[in-house]
Amino acid sequence: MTPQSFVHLHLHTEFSLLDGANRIDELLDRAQELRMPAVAMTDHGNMFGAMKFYKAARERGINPILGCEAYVSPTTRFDRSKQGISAAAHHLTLLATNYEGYQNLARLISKAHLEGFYYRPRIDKDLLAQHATGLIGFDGLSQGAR
Amino acid sequence: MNGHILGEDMRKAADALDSYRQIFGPENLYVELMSHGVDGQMQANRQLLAFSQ
Repeated sequence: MTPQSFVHLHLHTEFSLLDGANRIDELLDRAQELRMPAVAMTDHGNMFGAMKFYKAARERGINPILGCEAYVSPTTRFDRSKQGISAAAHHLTLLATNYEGYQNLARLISKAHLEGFYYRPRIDKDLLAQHATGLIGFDGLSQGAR
Repeated sequence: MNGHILGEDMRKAADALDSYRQIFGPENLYVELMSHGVDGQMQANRQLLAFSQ
């Protein structure tokens, strides 16, 4: 695979709180050096870095792909009966493919914080089904769907 | 899903994948493979690859 054709689609920045070591400017400088045409940002449960990432990528001529590694409740986002952080949610990585997808992602993640917070900001499958247009999902990580 | 695979509960793993397939549509759901040298990851990847087909 040539450097020009490789694109990171699951990537944590410094906004993956307590978990991300990648500073946005340094990350995008390196992506530019390696001539990567696009880079995705999929932080854990939040999109706090989205504007900074989007603008910094555009300045470098890199296509920013906005996403999130969302937390999904195994039941509903309102259920706070499970004991312990690992039982409260599994992970699902989401990428916006267009502006509608970005808007849906923003709605999902906002509701995760406002309605679904239990150990983690969580969505559920009902909410996802209402806001899935324009989004791509990945499953497969060790903490994926159960 | 990977948790089910490593726990050898393939039925639950397939159901989990199927529910997302219905939500996103088959064109917009991908199975993610990783190679980080973690125990069990290659075993899980082989099963994930089979599910993706």
